[in-house]
Amino acid sequence: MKLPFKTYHRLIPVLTLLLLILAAGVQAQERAVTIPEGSFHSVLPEVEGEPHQIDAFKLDTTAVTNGEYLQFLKANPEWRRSQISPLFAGSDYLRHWEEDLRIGDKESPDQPVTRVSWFAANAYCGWQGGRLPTLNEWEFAAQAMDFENSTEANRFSSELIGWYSAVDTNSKSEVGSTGIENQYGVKDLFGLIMEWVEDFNPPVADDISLDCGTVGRMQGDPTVYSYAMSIRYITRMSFKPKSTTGMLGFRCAYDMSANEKEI
Amino acid sequence: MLLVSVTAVTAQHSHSDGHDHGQAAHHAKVMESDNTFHSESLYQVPTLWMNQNGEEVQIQDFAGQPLIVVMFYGKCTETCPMLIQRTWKLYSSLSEETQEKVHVLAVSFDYKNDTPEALKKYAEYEQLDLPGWNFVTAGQTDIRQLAALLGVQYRERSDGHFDHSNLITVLDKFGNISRRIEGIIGDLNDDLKFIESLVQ
Amino acid sequence: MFLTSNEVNAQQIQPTETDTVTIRIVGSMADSRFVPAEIEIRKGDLLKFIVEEGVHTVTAYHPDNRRPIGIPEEAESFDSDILQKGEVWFYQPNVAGEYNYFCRPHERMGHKGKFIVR
Repeated sequence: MKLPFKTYHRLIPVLTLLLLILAAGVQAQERAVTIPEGSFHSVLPEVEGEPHQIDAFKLDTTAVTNGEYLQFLKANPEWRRSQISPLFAGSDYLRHWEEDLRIGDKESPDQPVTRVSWFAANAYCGWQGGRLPTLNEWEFAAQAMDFENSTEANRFSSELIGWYSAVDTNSKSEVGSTGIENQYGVKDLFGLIMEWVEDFNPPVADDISLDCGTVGRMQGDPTVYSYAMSIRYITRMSFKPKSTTGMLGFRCAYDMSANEKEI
Repeated sequence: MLLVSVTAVTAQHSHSDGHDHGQAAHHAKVMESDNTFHSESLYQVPTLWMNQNGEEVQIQDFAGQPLIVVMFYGKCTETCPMLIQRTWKLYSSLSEETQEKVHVLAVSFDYKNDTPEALKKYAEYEQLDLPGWNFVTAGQTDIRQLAALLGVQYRERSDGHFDHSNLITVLDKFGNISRRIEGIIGDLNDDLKFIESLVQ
Repeated sequence: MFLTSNEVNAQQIQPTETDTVTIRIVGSMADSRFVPAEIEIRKGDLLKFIVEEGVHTVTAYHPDNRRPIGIPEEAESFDSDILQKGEVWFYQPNVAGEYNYFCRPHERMGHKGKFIVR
């Protein structure tokens, strides 16, 4: 059915606007995805042999980038490098950036922000209306990978162990670059950076010293995959909340809103 | 090979807890009572806590006086009752004069259930709804931040309870952490003497 | 361990030695309990609390312990503080009446006891 020219003339800006709104909506949706409730076996279970139950939550699809962190700093001067309290970070905080509000040439806006302390990560996520994911939430998302079979899973984990032992802080890539994605679209939980979690040093950690015996003891199910998980646990336990390192960044989690929970 | 791998990973972590005094100079805050800048003072924590009376409280409200800080939660069994008892023992054993100068900030881990109303009921049952005692709540990230600053480890369990370490912290008149009293067993005499010395 | 008032009237009242009455503290967390949870004893008897499992206290319901009074007014308040497995704690009541007490760590789970002193 042919419409008069005048109608088309009015429709085009309206359609363009609608498309832009749709695109923005899609982008906003893609920043975080819903991880549905479920359970998984942790190397540090609450109860021996029993899986952890995880309620549904939302998780950022990528780590927080330099560009995103810059927006946070513009709005919150007390977290800028020259102003941050020694209470919340050491002198290495964002030392790779050129200035308080300038990332500089060494890094791109799309690389994950690193050399941020736990306090800074925690504050960023609070500013975004979320929080850091708990250790269990993070690990739950991490094991939600779609492997064809256990051979594939083991090969993946072997590569991972190689990555953990040879991380090069100078060759950090951009978010999404690893090509590793879990079944819900969460990217780069491996192969890019280590990530802060809300409770990176839970009370159980006191009994555990960082040695081979610990790794052996931690593994309930002796696969390469759980071994990689153990390495992450042990590494995280060595962190302190003021720690800032070149390979440590974060992403945020969000609670489900009331109406979302009902679905 | 395992040990080497783990060491390699941990060795990559160049922690820095050093203070850049250039940064500190940017702070406008100067603590009252003396002219030294206390760079590690918890008065820098901006959180607005809400107490059992629905009043907003900040740690910096207690500037000039020692503050006893303890983290607990209302539904807790096993250790929290003893932790609160220990805090009470400590506080009530101070001289009357000192008791008037020392406040207590009891912060709940349980941001969901320990609302100001629930905290009021708790304080009343425990007979601790006293002028110097504040049972408080705030947002999840605020509580996490304080625990990280105090060195209290905790984890929320799937049954809604919290695994947590047991700690009573004493802040001096400038908001610095000056005493950490760990666990729920042991003599408190030296700690009492220490707090008395803080009010001199 | 105790005589009913009828039995006392029936017999000639003999001077008796005081007894040591044992109350066991068993369980941990939700199944913590005093065994027996209720008991009658005579004035002068010595109560012996022994912890077989877990970590507990024997604490009087009394304002000294930040609770409403649940023991006779003239009776001395008591609080064993933390008792660990294998530890023993004694209390000798000197005032007749009903004594209500609790275990601080497990009070919310109903870990309470009572002894009546005649």
